[in-house]
Amino acid sequence: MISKNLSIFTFGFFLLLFQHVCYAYEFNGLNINGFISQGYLHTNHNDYLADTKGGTFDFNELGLNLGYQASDSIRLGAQILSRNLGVDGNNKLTFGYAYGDYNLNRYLGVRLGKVRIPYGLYNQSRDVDMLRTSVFLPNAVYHDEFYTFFSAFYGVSIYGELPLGNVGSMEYEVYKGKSEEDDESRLVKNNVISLGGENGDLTAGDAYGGVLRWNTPINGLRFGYSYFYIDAKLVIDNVNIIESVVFDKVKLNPIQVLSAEFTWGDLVLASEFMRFRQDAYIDFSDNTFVPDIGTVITNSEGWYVSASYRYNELIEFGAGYSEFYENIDKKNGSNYAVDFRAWRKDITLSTRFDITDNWVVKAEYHIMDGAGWLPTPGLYSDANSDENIKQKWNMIALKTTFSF
Amino acid sequence: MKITKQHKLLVYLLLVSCLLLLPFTVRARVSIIVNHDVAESSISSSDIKSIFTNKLPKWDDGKKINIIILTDREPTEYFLKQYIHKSLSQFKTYWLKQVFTGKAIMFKSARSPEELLEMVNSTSGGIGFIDSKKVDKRVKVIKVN
Repeated sequence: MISKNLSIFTFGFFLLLFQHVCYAYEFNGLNINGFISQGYLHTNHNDYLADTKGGTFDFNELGLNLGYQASDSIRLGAQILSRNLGVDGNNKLTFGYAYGDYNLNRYLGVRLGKVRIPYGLYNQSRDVDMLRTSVFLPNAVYHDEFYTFFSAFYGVSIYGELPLGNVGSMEYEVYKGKSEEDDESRLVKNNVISLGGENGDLTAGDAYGGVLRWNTPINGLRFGYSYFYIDAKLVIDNVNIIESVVFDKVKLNPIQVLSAEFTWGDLVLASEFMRFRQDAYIDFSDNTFVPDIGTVITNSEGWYVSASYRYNELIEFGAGYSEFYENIDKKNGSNYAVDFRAWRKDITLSTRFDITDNWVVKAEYHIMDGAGWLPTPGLYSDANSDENIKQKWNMIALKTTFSF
Repeated sequence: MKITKQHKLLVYLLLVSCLLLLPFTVRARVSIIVNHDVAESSISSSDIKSIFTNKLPKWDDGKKINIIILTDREPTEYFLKQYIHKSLSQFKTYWLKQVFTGKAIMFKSARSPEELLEMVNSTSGGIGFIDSKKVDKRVKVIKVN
């Protein structure tokens, strides 16, 4: 309750503070932009992303962006980010990104530091609400479950754009580094609760990958391909009679996304298809007699189609459909205790109101079928237990964002 | 006076000529202006698009390109549609995405043609667009190929 009241109060405070500030600040070449969002989520059954059954305000973001052009070729940038979505984020201040960018020319540039992962069409901007029509990016491709791994990496990336004459241009970015680690993330807590452990320790490993985006000669039409590999180690301590469970050599091996987007006037059509293979070697710590489970391989798949249309300066409409399958070898839920935990299908209808240039309000309705990758029962409430979980359920999402 | 077939043909040809000339007449309404320290005297349409979408950040001599956008609706909407193929709201969203992902620093805005001319004049590597009738000697007009 304190958290709920605090987030509403914080948002109201910032709205009052910035109501006359409708532009970015600049101090001696340092550019400052920012945003603050507050959302409300309500599901009629099942918890999704947060303690949503019955409604929650546990959904907000605050970002402060700093940019400085140090020379013709060097730019420094950082985003101080606070986010909260259920157990994720908890409004801890982190760097969304923080890197130096050396731009040699249009064909070649280098970024060094904490860099947003160029995954799919929209991953790099997933925390910035006012950049899209919908409240959520399609969860079938942009998983909140794996936010820890998908958001950013520490390392180096090389990027640029290559002109292709009459067939358009090709943007590229390749990167290598180390992924983010967060012991308080939903990914860790889900595993701690489902195994009955006390706490989890996530150690990040290598992260590398790349993206190609072909801007075709047809105005507004582009295609993309993303490849992303990471590895990590997750130890869940004090699991009942076993000392610990170790998810050793966990690999997202790899994640691949095919993307297409077509902008025609005020209409934007998009579709993406994602598939990833998760390898995890599971053992029960070194000092027990329980044999290791060995390597478990899961192939997951998700896709969506979406459309958004700006009707006028005030209103934008959006609609989408997505499907996600936790294990593509068991799409129909065979050998699941509850078969509809194998998938999640989502029809989304969105409306966005641009009240001013700096203030956006959104309302969204989700018609859901299936319960794939919902929070573990007990993480928020007992709504997702085998006895209580429902196949057909709905969600209302409301969100407002102020930016400058 | 009797309207002959020749008259009809003449009127038809005049109409077609007007329609053919229309795009050139409209395009001429907006000029691309740069600071006098910019060496380029001409630029391609595709480079204009690359510059205003943050994909071409430097002039040929390595100087940083500094974009200045006129907030007047009329020439801006026309310019964006003609060269960038985006609506005003799409253009704003595109740049917010560049800024909030750290890929760019927000372009500067001019609230009037007079302010734009002054800003382009005083900004090294500066580029903007303006109603052709309002161009003066403080800036250099570059030809669009």
